[in-house]
Amino acid sequence: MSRFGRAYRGESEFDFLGRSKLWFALSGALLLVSVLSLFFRPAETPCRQLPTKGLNCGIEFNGGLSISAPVPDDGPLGETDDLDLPGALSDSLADVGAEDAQIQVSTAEGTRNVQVQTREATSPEQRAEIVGGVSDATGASSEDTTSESVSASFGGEITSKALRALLVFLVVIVVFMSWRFEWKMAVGALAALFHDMVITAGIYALVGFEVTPSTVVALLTILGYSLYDTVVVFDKLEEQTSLFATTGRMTYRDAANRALNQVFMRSLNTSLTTLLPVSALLFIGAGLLGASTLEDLALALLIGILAGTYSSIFFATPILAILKERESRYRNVREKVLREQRRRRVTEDKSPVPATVGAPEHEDADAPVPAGTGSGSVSMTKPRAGTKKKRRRKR
Amino acid sequence: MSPQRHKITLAIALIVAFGGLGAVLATDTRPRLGLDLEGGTSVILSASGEGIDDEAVGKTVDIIRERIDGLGVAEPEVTAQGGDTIQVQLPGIEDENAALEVIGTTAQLTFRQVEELIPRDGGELLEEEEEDDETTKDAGKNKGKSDDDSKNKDRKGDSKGDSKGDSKGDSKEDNDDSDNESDPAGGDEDVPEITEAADQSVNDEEVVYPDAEDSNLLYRLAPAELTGDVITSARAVTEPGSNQWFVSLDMDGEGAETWADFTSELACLRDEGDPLSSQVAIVLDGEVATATGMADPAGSAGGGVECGTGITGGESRIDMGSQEEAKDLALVLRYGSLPITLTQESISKISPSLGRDSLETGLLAGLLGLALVLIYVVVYYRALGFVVWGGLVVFAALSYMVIALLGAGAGLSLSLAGIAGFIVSIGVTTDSYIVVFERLKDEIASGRSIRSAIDRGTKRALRTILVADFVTGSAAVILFFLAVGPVKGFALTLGLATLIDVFVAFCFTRPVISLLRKTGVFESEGFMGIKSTVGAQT
Repeated sequence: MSRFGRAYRGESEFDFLGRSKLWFALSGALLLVSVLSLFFRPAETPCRQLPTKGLNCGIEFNGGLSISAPVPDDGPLGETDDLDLPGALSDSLADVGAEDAQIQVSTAEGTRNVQVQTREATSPEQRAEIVGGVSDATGASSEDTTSESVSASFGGEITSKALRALLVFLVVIVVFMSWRFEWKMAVGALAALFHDMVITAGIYALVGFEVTPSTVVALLTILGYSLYDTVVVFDKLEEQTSLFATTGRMTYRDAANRALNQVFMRSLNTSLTTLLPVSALLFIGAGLLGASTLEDLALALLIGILAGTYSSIFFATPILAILKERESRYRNVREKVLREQRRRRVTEDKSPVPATVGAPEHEDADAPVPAGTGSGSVSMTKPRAGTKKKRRRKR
Repeated sequence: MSPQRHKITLAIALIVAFGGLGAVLATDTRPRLGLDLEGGTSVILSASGEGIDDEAVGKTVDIIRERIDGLGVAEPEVTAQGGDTIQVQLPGIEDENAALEVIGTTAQLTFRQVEELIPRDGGELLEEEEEDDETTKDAGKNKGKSDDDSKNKDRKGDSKGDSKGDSKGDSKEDNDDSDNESDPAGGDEDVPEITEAADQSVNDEEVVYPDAEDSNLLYRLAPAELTGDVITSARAVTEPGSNQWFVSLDMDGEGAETWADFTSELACLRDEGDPLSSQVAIVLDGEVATATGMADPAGSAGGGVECGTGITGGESRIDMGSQEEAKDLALVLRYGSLPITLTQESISKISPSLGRDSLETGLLAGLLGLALVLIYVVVYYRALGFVVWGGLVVFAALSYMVIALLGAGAGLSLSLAGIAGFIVSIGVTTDSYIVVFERLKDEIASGRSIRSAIDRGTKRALRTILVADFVTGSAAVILFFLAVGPVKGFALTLGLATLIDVFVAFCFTRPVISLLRKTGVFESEGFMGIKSTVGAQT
């Protein structure tokens, strides 16, 4: 039976937690790269409101004016070719006071467009002048011209409001999760959340994508998604551990592993079904000029959903397991189970137990093997022994 | 739950979803599109200055709305965004610069003497009759007595509204006496043009402004005697045991002196038998909020305004008819006392063609994403995947209905970020099914009978969905209330989608699975892609 086939049926016995060091190393490396690129890789237009150096902020945060206008073929610049266009335009824009204008030319569906960005738009009058300057120079009607101007202070307001919303949200979540589950789960969930957001931001810094309000929207969505996903995983975890670990039949780690195996396909499926529409958004959005809002959103979402799915299983749960195994009752269970396993290994060497314990009828309440749950199941064929065997085979 | 109840729940869910959708489609109620999808200009203003509160921001919103209405822009939307932020949305506007100019100026409050009343609708020119001292001004708010009050009440029945309405009907023409030196720009029919400027540049000039409630009634007003900044407080109050409402107005020392001189002068005019010119007009942002005469000391038993003395001490009382009128005037006065300045923080103009492109892209991406998800669930869950199809169709019907209804009812407009929110929620909604189905598999795999697996599994899975949706929902609520701009629109759709998800899970998924169980299809091999597991059990 293929590994996937087993996972498909929720029967896989992958030892997620046994390799937590590997996952922590992976996450740690990603986080390190993210933090380094956030703080030490200087961006072209660093966000003024944030202590990070590495994020490129759009005019929505730093203030300025951005204009997008078509260049009609019958307009004054209709004959100018793409290479000369920025120069020609910037000459006429310098006349209206926008010497620092950055101009990009792009073509979509046969129409040429110019994108102009400038910081020199302090007053509404100046804004009107520059927008008018672009329309005049290109011959685009005011109707077709799209523009956005933002004061420098407003970007800071958006940022601080988003941060305030984030703080309130985190408090609500900690309270809710502590009430519904326990505070250790809240810690695990927050760690995963932090993990996802730092990595998403880090990738933005590393690649140099521009941060726009859409990015903020996406980051906040990731926050919601990351928690949603963690909650689903933890819900399963709580059920399994209260079934097995608290009764002393399994170590917390094994019960958690069992839960993760059961929930793994769910996580995979969910991230796939969420990523499918998001990728559609990304690729269709990218194909269309101007709909950059969609593209920005989709890109951040794509990264965030991947990170969110990963972190629920490979980051939040190991952290939770570490916290939980320090509790005395689970420590005791763990010691007891380990003792029994040692003892069993001794007996196993003399008379090996049957390799499969699958039949539902099979029930032995006194069996030292954690498989004796009453309902007996295929999936819990002695997780410990199973993984041990696999490892031995590898060697 | 009994099968009967499942059937009823399912029927209700389907009726709500498709009946609602049918009704929405039949009445041609469409979702309102945001500016980023429709094209137009959106301005975000921040109000700054001392003493700004929600009330002042609300008044600013009203003032901006009136100014834009004056421009004739179709369906402008002016909303307070929480705190000191105001959003102005102007769909389909061609020359935004005129609108921007109108939006940004600060509203000013002035006190001016009334010189002339001019009905604009080609009606007769009028003169105020004797009774117009019914709009009373008492020196000292405590001076009013109950008999005075009752008298005021009688008259007050007609005060402000009547001094216009009545007089219109009453006497005709004449009253041109105050008309001569003010040379109105518009020569036709003697109806002068309304002064456009409403800021301090015209403080020293004679102006013509319309009445705040009746735009066909114009006032010619003398230069401003006082501006709003002298006001220290203005409250709508009533005396115990009466329903006579008045505004108690306080001014600072300097203002009080000018006010005393001004009102004394007006009182003298009243005594000279010139009731019209003895009125003071309270003007906010180029509109006359109210024009009121000086109370006759004889009539109001010591509560009136004397010629030669005026209202001293800066404490005045302006009698109004209803509580509402008094509150409105008090708000106008308070607002006028605030030095609010408006800053245009963000101006974005989207061309209609870009908006249309964005909408098409968003919808296309949504449909493509949905199609991919539909294919995936059927590949993965086989026949059970079709339950997801049903659920997503119900989800889509409900979403469209809710967005359309909220657009028509509450003015909610769908933005690009909102569409993105829905696209993401396709995944989250599908997840609800995945959680349920994976749960069923687990239960069956752990040796339960199909029947008990479904009972237990659905119950547990719905609990998980509820908890997880609560998290997403609270994120949406918090974002909606604390964030600004595009984040708000996104949060709203996310929240709606979450609510609909819960509804679909409980009122569609659960009954459908439970009813399907009855038919026995779950036992058939391959129904939910778990045949080998089921097979292993038997």
